[in-house]
This record gives sequence, C-alpha cells and structure tokens, in this order.
Amino acid sequence: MHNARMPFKPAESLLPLTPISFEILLALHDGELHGYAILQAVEARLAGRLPMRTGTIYRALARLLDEGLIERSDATADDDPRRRYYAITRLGRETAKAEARRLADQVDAARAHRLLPSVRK
Amino acid sequence: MKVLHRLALRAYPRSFREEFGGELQRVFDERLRGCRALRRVPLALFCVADTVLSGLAERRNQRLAHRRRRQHAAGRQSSRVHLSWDAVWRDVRFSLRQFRRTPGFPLLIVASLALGIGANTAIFAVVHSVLLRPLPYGDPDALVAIWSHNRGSNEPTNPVSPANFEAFRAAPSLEGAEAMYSFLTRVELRNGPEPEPVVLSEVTPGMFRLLGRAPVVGRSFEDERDGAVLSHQFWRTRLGADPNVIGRTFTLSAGASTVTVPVVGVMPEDFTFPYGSMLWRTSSVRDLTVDLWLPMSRHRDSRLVDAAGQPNRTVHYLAVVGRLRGGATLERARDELASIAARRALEYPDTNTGWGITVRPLHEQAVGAMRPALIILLCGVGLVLLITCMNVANVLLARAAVRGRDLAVRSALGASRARLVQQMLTESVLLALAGGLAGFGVMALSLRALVAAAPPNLPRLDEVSWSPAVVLFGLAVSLLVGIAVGVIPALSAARSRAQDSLRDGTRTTTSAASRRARSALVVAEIALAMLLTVVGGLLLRSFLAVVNTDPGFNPERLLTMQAAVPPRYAGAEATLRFYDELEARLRALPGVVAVGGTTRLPLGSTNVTTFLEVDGRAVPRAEQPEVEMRRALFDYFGAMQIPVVRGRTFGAEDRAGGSGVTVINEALARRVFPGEDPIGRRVRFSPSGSWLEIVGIVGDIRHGSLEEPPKPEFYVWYRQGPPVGPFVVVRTAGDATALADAVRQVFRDLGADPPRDMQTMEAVKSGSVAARRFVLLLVGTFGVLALTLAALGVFGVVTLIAAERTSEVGIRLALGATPPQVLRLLLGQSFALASVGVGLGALTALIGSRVVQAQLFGVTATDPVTYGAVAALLLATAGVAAYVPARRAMRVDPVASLRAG
Repeated sequence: MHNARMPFKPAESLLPLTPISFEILLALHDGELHGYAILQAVEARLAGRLPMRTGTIYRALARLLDEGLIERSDATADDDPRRRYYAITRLGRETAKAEARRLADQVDAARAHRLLPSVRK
Repeated sequence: MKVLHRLALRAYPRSFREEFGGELQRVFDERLRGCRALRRVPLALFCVADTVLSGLAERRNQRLAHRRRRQHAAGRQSSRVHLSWDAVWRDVRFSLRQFRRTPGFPLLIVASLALGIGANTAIFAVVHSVLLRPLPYGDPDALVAIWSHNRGSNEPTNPVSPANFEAFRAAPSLEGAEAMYSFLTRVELRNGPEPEPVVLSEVTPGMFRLLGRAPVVGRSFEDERDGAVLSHQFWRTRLGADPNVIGRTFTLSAGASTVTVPVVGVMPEDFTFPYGSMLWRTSSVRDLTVDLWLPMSRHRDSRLVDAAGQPNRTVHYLAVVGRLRGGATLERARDELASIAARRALEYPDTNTGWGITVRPLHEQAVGAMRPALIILLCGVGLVLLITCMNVANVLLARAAVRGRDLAVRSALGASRARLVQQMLTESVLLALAGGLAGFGVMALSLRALVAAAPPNLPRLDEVSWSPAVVLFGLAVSLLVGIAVGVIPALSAARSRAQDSLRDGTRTTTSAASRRARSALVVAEIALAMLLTVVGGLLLRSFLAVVNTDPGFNPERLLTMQAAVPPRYAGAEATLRFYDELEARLRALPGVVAVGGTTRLPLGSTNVTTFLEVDGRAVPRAEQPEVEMRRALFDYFGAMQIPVVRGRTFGAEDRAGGSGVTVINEALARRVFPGEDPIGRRVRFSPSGSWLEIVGIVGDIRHGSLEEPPKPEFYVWYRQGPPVGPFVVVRTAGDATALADAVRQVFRDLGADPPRDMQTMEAVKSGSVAARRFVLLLVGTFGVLALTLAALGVFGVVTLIAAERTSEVGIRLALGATPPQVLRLLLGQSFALASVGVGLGALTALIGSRVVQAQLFGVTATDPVTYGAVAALLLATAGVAAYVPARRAMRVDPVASLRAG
C-alpha cells in the first residue's frame, strides 16, 4: 500500500509539510538513519521549540512512508540488528526542496512586510 | 512499566505496530533508563498516556483514510454508524428525555454513584497530598534523610551524634548535609505579661539553603549566633503579620535558662519543616507544628562538643538531611556513608562500634509510615465503589429488561446492535458523570470530616486540598464507572432477540441470561462485602487487643500534667524545696489518693536511652546495654500502681548527697542480669558518674506504645538529681478531671506557671491509639456501606425472581402448596446465592487480608472467629433482605396471578 500507490505524484501536491515531517526529511537528507536516530536528530534540533512527543514523530514517519517520501532501507544497525533504517526517496528529496522553496518564499514575503530585517550581502 | 507500555502500544493499529512497535518500546526503555529514579514513574505514565493518545489518533486517521478510499471507490455513503459527535449528541438528548420521564431512577443512581465516587475522590485527595505530591522544598527528590543504624539495640533510624554528622557531610556524593535536633522543644516566649508556649526547632544555619527555600520576609541564618526565623503561621496568627517584625527581640525561656534573640526572617506559607515523621520515632512531640527556628549553637548547647572542644561522639540526638549531588544515586551515597561509618568504627572503637548508617529519600522518611494505612483505605474505598457499580449495573440491567420492548422496536426499525449499545453506554456514562460531579460535593464534605477525625500526627494532612489531579481523578473514575456499569446491561440488551420480545407482547422481557447476570453480580457483591467486612473485623479485633493490652500500670483516675520549676527556685536545693511544697499541697487536696512524678510519661512523652555500666563488668562503652532512664518523683510507683516485684522503692532514707540508689524494671533485670540477683549490684550511666545501688525491681510498663513490648528501664530518685520539667501524676478517688482546677490553683499559689498538657491518663492512652482508631473508623464505615449495598442487591434480585415467578407461585398455591413452603423456596434461592458469595468472599479475604497483615495485633489474618462472625452476619443480612419480597410473593392470590399470567 505504501509508495506504490501513486508513483507519479508531483512533489508540490504534498505541500505544505508539517514541521516535523520536514525535519525528518532534513535529517535523512544526509544519509540513512534508524528510527531512534531520527528521533534524536530531530529532538536535538528542535529541543524546546516544538512540543516533542515520541508518538508524533513515529506517526509522521508512518505518514512519510505512506506517501512515499521515505522508504525502508536494507541497512541494519551494528549495535542492534532489529533496528530498521530509513532512506529518503527521490520524491522525498524533491518534496523537501519544494517545501524549502515554499518556506523561503514565505520568509521573503515576511521581509517585504518588515517582519524580519532584510539581509545585506 | 514496560508491560504497561506494551499494552498501551495496542492502541495503535496493527500495521503501525508491526512497523514501529519494537522501536517505540526501545525508545521508551531508553528514556526511562536515562532518568532519575524518582522521576521515572511520572515520565513513564506520561509516555504511556502519550502512546495511548497518539495510538488512538493514528487509528482514527487510518479509519478515516480507509473510509475515504472506500467512498471514493464505491461512490456511495457508508451505512455503518460511526462514533460521530452528532450521534453522541443525539444519544445524550435521548437519554435526558428518558430521565425526565422517570426522574426517580436516575436520581437514585446518581446519588449512590456520588457516594461511591465522592468517597473515592476524597481518599485519593488524601493519598495525593500525603503520598504523591513532592515535599515543599527545592528539588525535593535529591533530599535524603540520614540516620545512624544502632545495631546493638536494633534501631535502624537512630539519631546521629554531632561528630558523626560532621563526618557524614563530607561524603563526596552529597552536595551538602545539615542537621537539626531530632525532637522539637517547647519553650516559653516571655515578651508580654503572660508567658506564651512556643514550639522550637533548632537547625544548623545552612538548613534552609539546603532545603532550597528562603524566607519571604527578612533573611535566612548567617551563622550559629544568629537570631530566630519564624513560621508563616506563627507570624500571621500570633503577630498579626507585623511587617516590621524583623529586628524585634524575643525572650525565650525553658526552665531556668533564658535566651534573647532578634527575629531575622519569616518563612513562606507553604513551608513546613520538619514534618513530625522526620523526627526521631519515639519523640511524642511529633504532632506539634514549629513556630520558630533557631540556629543550633555551641553557645547554647554544650552537648555539641565534648570536654576537649571536639564534636561530641557519645550523644546521639541529631536528625540529618542531605542533598545528593547531581548524578549521584542514593545507592552511591549509602555506600559512601557506610564506609565512613565503618572507618570511624575503626578509628573510635569505644564509641562507634556497632553503629552503621541508614539513608532513605526524605519523602519516604516523611510519609513512608503512612503508606500502608493509606493503601488499606484506598483498597477499601475502591471496593465500596466496585460494589456500588455492581448495584448500579444491577438496576440498569433491570431497566434494560423493562425497556426490552422499546429496544426491540428500535432494532426492528433498523438500529444496528452497535447503535443500541452506544445509546445505552451514553446513558450510563451520563449518569456516572452526573454522579461524579455530585461526588465532588460528597468529597468536600467528607474531606472536612476526614481531616477532623484524623489523628494530629499524620504528616501533611493539613495540606490535603483540591488540586487539578484530584479533579482529573474524579472525572476519570466517573467515566470508567460509566462504561463499567453500562457495558453488561448494554450487551445483554443487545443480545436479546428482537422477535422474541415483540412476539411476547408483555412489557418486560427477562431472559435467563439477564437473570444469570444479575445473580452473578449479587454473588460478587456479597463476596466483596465479605472481604471488606473481614478486613474491618480483623482491624476491630486488633484495635480491641491493643486497647486491652495491660500497660503495666492503672490508667484510670489519673490526672497528668507537665510542671515547670519557676526560675526563682534555681539550683538543686531550691528545686527540691519547690517539689516538697508541691507534693504536700497536692496531697492535701481532698480526693487525691497519691501523687507521683516522672521525667518520661508512659504513652505520651519522648524517650531517652543511655548506656548502663555494671560494676565489675569491664566492657567497652559501645557494647554496654542501652537502656531507658527516667527519674521517679514522690510516690510514683504507688500513684501509677506499678507493682513492686522485689526489694523496695525509694524512700525518705534516700537523701540528696547520700549513697545513690536505683530501681530497675523486670525487663532490665532479665536483659542485664540473666540468672543473677540484681539487688545490691551497682550500675552507673555515665563514665564519670557515681555508682547507683539497685534496691528494688518493679513491674514492666508499656512506654512507647501499647503495641511495643516493654524495654529495659531504670529509675533514679529525684532527690539525687532533681529534674526541671517533670510530669506530675495525681491519682484521685473519683473523676480525675474534677480536680483540674484545684491542681491549677496549687501551682498558682506556689507562684509557678500553670502546668502544661493537663489531661487524664485515659486521654493520653486514647491519643496513643488515634491512628489505629482512624483507620478502623474508615474501614468500618466502608464495611457498613458494603453490607448495606449488598443487602440492597439481594433485595433487588429476590424481588425480581419473585415477580417473575408470580404465576408459578400461583399454580403451586392452587395445587395445594402452603405459603410457608413458597417462602422457603424463595429464601432457599437467596441463601444459595449468599452462600456462594460468602464462600468466594472468604477465599478472597484469605488472600486480600495480607494487605493489612502489618496492621494486625494479637490476631492472625486467617482468624476463624472473624471469618465465622462475618459470614453469619452476611447470611443473616441476605436473609432479611430476601424475606421482605419473599413474604410478598407468599401472599399472592392464586386466582389473580393465574388470570394475569
């Protein structure tokens, strides 16, 4: 049922991503990770900024799997072979990029409205 | 905890569990491992709750996604009824309409649930405030209580000597440690014309900092010569919350010694320290609240240092509180302190041999002793609620039977079984929530009664109050109760076949299944009532056994009080002159039979122990027997009616400055002189003291409590060392309280302060069993409630059976059965139910009464008398409850009943 369902879904159709989903894609962008490592990476970055509940992260993982943005990888952990590894799919990468562009666009809009100081290069 | 979490994982849909279940469990384990022991339980509960919530959310999510896909594929509306707010709202309105039609029924149910839920919430409020809430200190989980373990007298929580305290506070895993006297001191505040009694706790200057609390007005102690810090309550009630209190001076006096100190601070309102349970367990002043704190000071207390100016190693009277360093565990602190104690035993074998260490969390120290009693109460009140639920379920079952036809019509019109169950559950949950809300009123009332009935030395009882946790608990219990009581009738109603009840045509349909369910409920009710009543019976028998324990003296017609020698009688000779006057005047009062006095009143005062050295036995001090010492004044043994076993008691020949004498009790004779004659032997209780010759042996008395076996004691004659604040006992011919005014007048005539704590010995004795009486009172109330509810259950079921069998009874009567035979038939049935219930109850009680094992005294948990009596009581109750409806059935007119059938 997972990513086979809609193989040709355009990346933009999944936007906007929830902040947690976006963070998970960011964490997987640099390489495969197992669930707990994703949890730690996301928590380390967001500590204090978003209310963090274990269940939320795993549910976001399930959603991403379902939508085909990530997939199960064949790798196993050295310390614990029961741990499952996840990898970002091509669709996932594109969606993450699209989401990043969308966010950047919004931030630009915020600058234009002087909610944020404008960047000087 | 792991099991709980694994169960909670079931909230997730299976496909999710298969993918992530193992991971989630591992994450849970790792979270718990990385957190401090005391935080573990709340964290685990949070994680479990989180798992359940997000599991349910995920389930819903999947279901919605599934439905969308199906609708999409089939292009039609789903016919299945789903739990939507709309449907729930419809059910709620339907239920309310039903209730309005027959208001008596819902009112009855709401009232009984309000009782059950309210009582539960009240007891939970006590448990929450006393056991679960953190102590009012900064980071209280890191605080520990440190005691010396006196192996010689098997006393694990012995106070600590000043020298050991100094050594213990150097343990590396402790961030710090501070000490206080292991007892409270009563002194007199002499600021106004009349001396005012105040209660004092002396603590090392860093105590408040260690506890992480600071005064709201003024400052904390700076050093040991600093002034007094007041409690908020004292400041508010006795000083009218005077904002300029800082700098005022207080003159405090105890006996002949007086100190004058400035006030330096006032502690916050929620600050309580120490709780009575943090003091030494034999201290009777544990039920007092502290009015002010003074820094413990060498200038006031010569015992803190020895003759050489070093911290004292021989007296043990400090209670120590430590704070664990971040990351240090209780176990590590315990190991370190134990090795310090062992090292000191090698270094100072004469004083430290046989002294180990006890370390426990301060929270445990404060409320641990309360836990068994509160758990008994929680179990008891839980059982009452369970029985209430069964009763309500029973009523709902009966109602479902009555409404069978209505349900059948709805079912025939297309309502699915799930829809009917949902409707009935909505109804019971509504009832239970209403019961819960009314229960808060019951709780408010019963809390007030609870706090009023509670013995004053229960720690933290004054902190019992409403809190969000209590409200949440009440609501959660109501919801659970609503589902629990609704589920059986709902399922049973849904199971009954629509055609049957429509064809039947009568208004009621009671299937055999429904009757079986009701009978099973009644059996369970009786069994639970049996359990609760057996526990109540065991506690009652224990209470009677404790109260009837012979204390070794006669507590009747004795007036007791604590006297203070006026300051102008300073010095031993003048003190004796005061005592002579006092004794003469008290004895001259009409109605006084004998006058005595002692320094330690049995069942009602603190205790001191000392080491006893026997002349001619060369043993190191640490191995000398530790015994209790008190002084005897006037005719103490005569006034108390303590029998003289051998030799003589004190008399006029034992003068001040004459050769020292002592009287010992039988326990001391057995312990120190086994197989020898103690009369004529010489003992002393300090290495430099003079020898005392044993002149007599008196009977043992119960001193600490009626439950504790007598300890070895010896008495010293007041003329050979007069005390300053002794207890005086007056034996009277008639009512002891009638002499109170005359006795006060004697003190006034002598220019002395009025005696303190004047009460009869019976009152002292009664106070010593207050905690036991409290638990008994509550469990007894629960037992009576349980019996009443069970009787109501039996009544209901027999009424039902009788109504069902009206036509059968009519036939029997028409065919020649006599009314008594019919009565026997119905009573026989209810006895059968009751017997099964009693049998099951006895089995449960055999297992369940282990919970109260520790509270029992003089009776075993399997006491056949209690079981037999309770079984008889229950059978009799069931019989009476069944008799009323059975009699009504007996009077049936055969013709009428046959025509109706």
